[in-house]
Amino acid sequence: MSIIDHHPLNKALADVLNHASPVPDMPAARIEAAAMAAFGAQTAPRHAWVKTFGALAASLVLGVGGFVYYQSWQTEQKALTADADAFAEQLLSTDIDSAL
Amino acid sequence: MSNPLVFDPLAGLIAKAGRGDRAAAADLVKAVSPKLWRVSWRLLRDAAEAEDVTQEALIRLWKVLPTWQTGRARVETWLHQVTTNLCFDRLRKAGRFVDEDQAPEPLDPGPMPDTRLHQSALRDSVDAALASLPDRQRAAIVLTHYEELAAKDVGEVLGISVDAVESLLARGRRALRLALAPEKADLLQASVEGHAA
Repeated sequence: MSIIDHHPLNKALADVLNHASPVPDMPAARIEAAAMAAFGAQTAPRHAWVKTFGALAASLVLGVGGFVYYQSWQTEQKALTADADAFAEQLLSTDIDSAL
Repeated sequence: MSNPLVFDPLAGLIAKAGRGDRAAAADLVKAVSPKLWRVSWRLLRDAAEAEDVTQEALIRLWKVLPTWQTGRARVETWLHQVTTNLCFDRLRKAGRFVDEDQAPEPLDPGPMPDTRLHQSALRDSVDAALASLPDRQRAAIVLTHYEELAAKDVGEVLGISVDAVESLLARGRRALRLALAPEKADLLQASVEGHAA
């Protein structure tokens, strides 16, 4: 507040201004309902976008993870099969029947 | 030079509402809407239009929430600015906006009889005197007197310097004193004498 506001004429004028019509009651319920509806509309698309993006990201992670795991499992199976084949070959080549 | 950070008591609510917190948004509406309603009603003198302006100001707040930078400005000051501009826009569209250079110079009513009007007549006179002010002067008076904003904040709301606010207030007060002199000459005189004593 500036020094001008403390001038006696302005203080008297302030007293006079207090005689103006009072502001009517605010339609609080309507204003709050409209504001919250607008808030919901404003934030809803963002939430939907976040949910969609989250679902896509999760699908991608699961897909890539599953593929990598499947590939490694397949490689492991091939290695095991190769080991088993090699062992069988080894048994056959050692004439195990005569040894027994 | 960068502006100093501005303390905003509503910063916490703004941050929460910006993250989508409905309860914080509701608290924010409760905190600011009565002020916006008062300013818009005093500038427009129309309840339906004041309601529209209050709602529009809040909708604009929701739009800027995600990018709101705490510390740059007080949200109430920003909302007062939006509300005042919306009121001015509506007054312009309705052809009711009175610029200062269009306003007639207030006439000095001369010596007034020492009479006290009935309360309702006085209220009508004060209302009429306020309504007769150019809109920016009325906004400055409303924000300073009724909303008790500091001149610096009024300057931010109206987009003018503090000196320009003081100038608006001085012209507004002069016009009001002249317009209200018939009713309040005795009160003004008593006040001056009281301070001189």
